[in-house]
Amino acid sequence: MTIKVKVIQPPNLSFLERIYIPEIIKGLKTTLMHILNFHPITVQYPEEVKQLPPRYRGLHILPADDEGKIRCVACKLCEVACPTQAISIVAEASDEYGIERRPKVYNIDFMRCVFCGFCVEACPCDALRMGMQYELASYNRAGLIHTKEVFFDPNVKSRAPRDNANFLYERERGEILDEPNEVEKIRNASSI
Amino acid sequence: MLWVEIGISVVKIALVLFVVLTLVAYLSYAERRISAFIQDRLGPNRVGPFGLLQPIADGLKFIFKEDIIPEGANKPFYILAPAFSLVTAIIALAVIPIGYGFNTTFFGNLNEPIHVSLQIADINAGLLYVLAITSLGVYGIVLGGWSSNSKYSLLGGIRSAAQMISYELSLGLSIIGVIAIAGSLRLYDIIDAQAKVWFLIPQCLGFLVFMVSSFAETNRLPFDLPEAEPELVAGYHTEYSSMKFAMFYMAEYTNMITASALAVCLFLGGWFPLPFGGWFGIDIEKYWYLPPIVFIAKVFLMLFFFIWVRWTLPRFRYDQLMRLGWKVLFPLAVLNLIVTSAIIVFV
Repeated sequence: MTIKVKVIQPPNLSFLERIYIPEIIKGLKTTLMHILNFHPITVQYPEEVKQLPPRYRGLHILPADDEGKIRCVACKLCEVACPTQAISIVAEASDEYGIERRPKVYNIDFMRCVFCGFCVEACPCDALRMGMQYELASYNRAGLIHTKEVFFDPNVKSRAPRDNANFLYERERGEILDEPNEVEKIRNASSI
Repeated sequence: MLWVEIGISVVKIALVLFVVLTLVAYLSYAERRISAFIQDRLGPNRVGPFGLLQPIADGLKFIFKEDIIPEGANKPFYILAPAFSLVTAIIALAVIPIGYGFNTTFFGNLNEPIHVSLQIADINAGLLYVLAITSLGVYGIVLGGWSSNSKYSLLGGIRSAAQMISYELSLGLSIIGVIAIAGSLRLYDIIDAQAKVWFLIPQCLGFLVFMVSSFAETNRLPFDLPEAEPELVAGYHTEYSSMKFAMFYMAEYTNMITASALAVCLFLGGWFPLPFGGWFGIDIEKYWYLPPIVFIAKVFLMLFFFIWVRWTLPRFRYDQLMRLGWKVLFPLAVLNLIVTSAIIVFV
């Protein structure tokens, strides 16, 4: 088997190109136009910030349920899904109706987190989301381990019903639809 | 009278030294800003208004940096090299005239008015002096490269020496045309000879050769092979740090100022504002400050041109550099000289 060799000839330059000067003037014109039509692409970071894409994966937030509490039921699916073992959860028993467990400790170690978003995909209760924050500088290592108090955000409401076990069971049977108006639609359809 | 003259000289030297070193500091700022503008960036704009205090911050940083002398370096030469570079770069400016000068009695303190010329030393072989001193500058680079005891430094130094030898010849030959027309080596006379027409027009080929050679002489892109970053780390000043490194940098920018001033003196009409016609009847005795303004403005434009070219052109390869020097510029300079002298003799 022979190796096919493609011989690349040096480009044929015209006389004007070979004496450099016209080409140099062209180049100088290009750079001068950049000075005259000055449109810097620099973002002056602390004063200006770039608009983030809507699906940006920033620091996690724990959304609140209807009662303004953490939605997490400490099922630990996120902990399992995490490829870097950044999430650590300690569960405690809960005596609320329909909820067996609550997270006693919910820590994300941002020295390990790679912001892949697998934990959010794994969460069955919409209890964990990726936020839009990305400024996580800290003066010490402890500051980079965020507890649930740090990233619980009562202003972010989760739309999924609070009673998680029933929710999953009913959704399996097709009794719960995501949008309230769709439920309305089905009701109207069945009445006819 | 003697003491007055000595005093004037000392003041002039101090003033030139201060202005040149400040200008050097601000050239580094200008270089960074202009390069940023060419590349659609902003450049240093944080320290002070528009980043204008950046050179001061840089200077302070250079002073407080650790001064490292590598083991195995030849210590005396290692310390001497940056000083040599800087001193030769600065003293070359001594003969550059920037104006006719003026007569003054220092507000009536002297009995008869004394003439203050706007140049430190009026040597009758001023041009030769500049060429000689700027050629000495390569010793600093070669010594620095060799005494660092590092392969990159040595390569940078050797390249610099070879480059200087190749381009010094063309530089010298391109100037001889000017000397032949002006009939003097004194820079003052050369500028005065351009009252009717700048030497740029009769000597355009010489100007081209001179500019290309002075880019090579000042070790700036497209001929910055002695410090070619991608190949040689930083070339001859790889091992230098702190103020010694800063001195090499200052030497580079001072050489740039010298080259610009020389180009203005020899080809761009010195202190004459337009290519034709001299002063258009302006009383230069009265408005003695006009020539320096015109001269300095031209030097600034040349400095901008140096920076502009640096951020436009890529670096030459070493063999291309040598080919350009010996096979193109040298014959062109000789051709220019022959044609010029033929015209002077026969026309």
